Amino acid sequence: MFSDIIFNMRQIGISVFIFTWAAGISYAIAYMHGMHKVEFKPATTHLALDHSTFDTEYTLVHLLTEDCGCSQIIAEYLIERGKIKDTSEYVYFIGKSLEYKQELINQGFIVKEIKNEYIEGVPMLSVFHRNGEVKYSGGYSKKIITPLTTILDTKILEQVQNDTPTEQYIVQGCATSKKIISQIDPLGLKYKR
Amino acid sequence: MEQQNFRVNYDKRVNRAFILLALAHIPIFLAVAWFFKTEFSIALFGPLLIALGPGLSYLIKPSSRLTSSLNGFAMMALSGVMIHLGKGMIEMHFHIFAFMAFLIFTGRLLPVLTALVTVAVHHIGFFFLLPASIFNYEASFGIVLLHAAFAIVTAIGCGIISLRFGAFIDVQETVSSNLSAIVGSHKTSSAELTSISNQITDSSTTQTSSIQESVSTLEEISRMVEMTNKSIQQTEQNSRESFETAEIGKRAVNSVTNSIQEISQMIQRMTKELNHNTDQIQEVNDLINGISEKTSIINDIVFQTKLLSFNASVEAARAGEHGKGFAIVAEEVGNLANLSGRASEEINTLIENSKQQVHKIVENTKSNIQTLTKQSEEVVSSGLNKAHDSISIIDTVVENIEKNNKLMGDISTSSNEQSLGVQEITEALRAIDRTNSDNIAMINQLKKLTSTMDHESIKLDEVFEEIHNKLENRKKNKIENTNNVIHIEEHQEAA
Repeated sequence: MFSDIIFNMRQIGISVFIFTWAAGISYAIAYMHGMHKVEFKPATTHLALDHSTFDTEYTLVHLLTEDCGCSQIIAEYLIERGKIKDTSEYVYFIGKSLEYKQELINQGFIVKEIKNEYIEGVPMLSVFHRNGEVKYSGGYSKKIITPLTTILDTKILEQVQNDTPTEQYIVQGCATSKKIISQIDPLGLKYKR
Repeated sequence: MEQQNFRVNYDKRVNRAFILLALAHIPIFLAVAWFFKTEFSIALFGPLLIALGPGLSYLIKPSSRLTSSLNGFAMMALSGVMIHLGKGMIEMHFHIFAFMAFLIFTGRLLPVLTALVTVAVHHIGFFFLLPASIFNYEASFGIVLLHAAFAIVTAIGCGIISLRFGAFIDVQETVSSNLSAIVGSHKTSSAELTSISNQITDSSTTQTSSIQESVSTLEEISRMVEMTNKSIQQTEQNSRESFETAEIGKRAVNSVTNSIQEISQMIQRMTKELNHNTDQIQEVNDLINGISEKTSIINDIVFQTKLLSFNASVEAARAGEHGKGFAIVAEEVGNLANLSGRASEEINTLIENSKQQVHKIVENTKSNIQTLTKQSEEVVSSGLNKAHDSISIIDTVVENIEKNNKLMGDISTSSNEQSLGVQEITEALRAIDRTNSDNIAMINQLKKLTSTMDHESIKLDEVFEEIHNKLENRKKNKIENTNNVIHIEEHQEAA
């Protein structure tokens, strides 16, 4: 009798554990997936840029954060690519840039570190005309940024330069807004609080 | 029971393998996280947490279906982590199908269904919870269903294969348990058969040798019997000849007997003749005696003559002269009488001598005749006796010869029968020899078959071992082989 109770309790305990485990894993995975699938709004208006200082016809602004893998990929891509001739390129890091700053400067980029207040997510590309007009604001590719993703910034610039219709790529990657972070990563799996 | 044990062991091994497989994702995930610049913490702890469920279930009951099902869930969860670490790359979804296929190794449908349900619930739930972000393009529910359809189709295929694989595992167990025993038994039987064949071959060879020796001996006996037959025939011939000779001898002895009897008769006749001669001599003697009597008469006459002569002379002397002439005559007469007397005495002497001689002759003759007769009679009697004895002996000899002939006939008949028997035995032994040769040929054929069986048994064993090696880990295989060997040895000992 007692052993039956122990057995039943054990069974119940196992069942509860398994259910909790399965649910927890499912929940965590669901949120992990959700992290990549969030589309962020482009937020060029919140960048403190003085277009009167633009000395080239087109200026590219790369908005990154060093904690974000997608941003790191873009940063490495930029270091590898180098600055585009006859353009100005700014790299804005939300927060500190310790790893890529100097290399980017060496490649001709203007690197700035900013505090985030309104930007939802990175990496984000903005193309400005000398007159301050935002020619493009969005993501770098139609897919999420991975080392295998083809970065389309040069193509976008080309389209802008040729004044051809430019496809608007969504911003996918890492959230920078605390509000969004708390929404998409309630378990703190990815983002540091 | 053994099959269940095998299945249990297999489930245990597969469940453990899947848990290890989950943990083996850690370095891969770390590499993916490094490449895609995603979280190392998730790469490290994700598989650990995922392996926790089936791991705990494994510790409670290693071979349970629940563990298998949790492994199905875990594999899909790993797919989810993989997709996350790969930044949601659509290509990372192949992990789902790859590891759903891996679940075939469980040989059960439930883990595949669990995986399918996990994926379906995840995607459909995600669609409704985060509709805009389930794919990196705006997918409709139809697209979700299309993906789900592919997952279902994959799961159906995997499920069917898994069931078939499960059946194969059961068959493999049957092969493992039964074939092993059959192979062992086959090998043992084959070895025993080889041993028996060798023994039979040795026995047959020995038997053949013995039969050949026996045939050789019988042939020799047959030759000896033939020689004996010939000897018996010769002996019979000799016996017949002896019989005939004995008959001849008997007849000769009879003839001798007759001759002896004739001799005896002749002796008797001769004795009679001799007696007659003796009688005649006796008569001569009587005649001589008569002569002798006559001679005495003469002597009496001579005496009387002399006496007269003397008287005459006396008268002549008285007669004087006138008597002179007469005296002379009387003298002459006296002389003559003297002469006659002397002649008579001589005759008498002769007669006496003749009488004595005749008497002696008669006596000698009688004595001799008696002696001779007696001796003849004895000789004849002895001859007759000997002849009779000879006849008796010859009769005995003849009788013995007849008996011998009869015995020889019997021996000859027996010998012929023996010869026939020996021939029959020889033929029988030759037939046995031929049969034995056929048997040896068949045994050689049997040995070839046994050798083939041995070879096939070894091949079968190799195939069986190959199956084992392919389907089981070597350590387990070694243990089971050892168990099989022990089982076979126990079986052999029991047998």
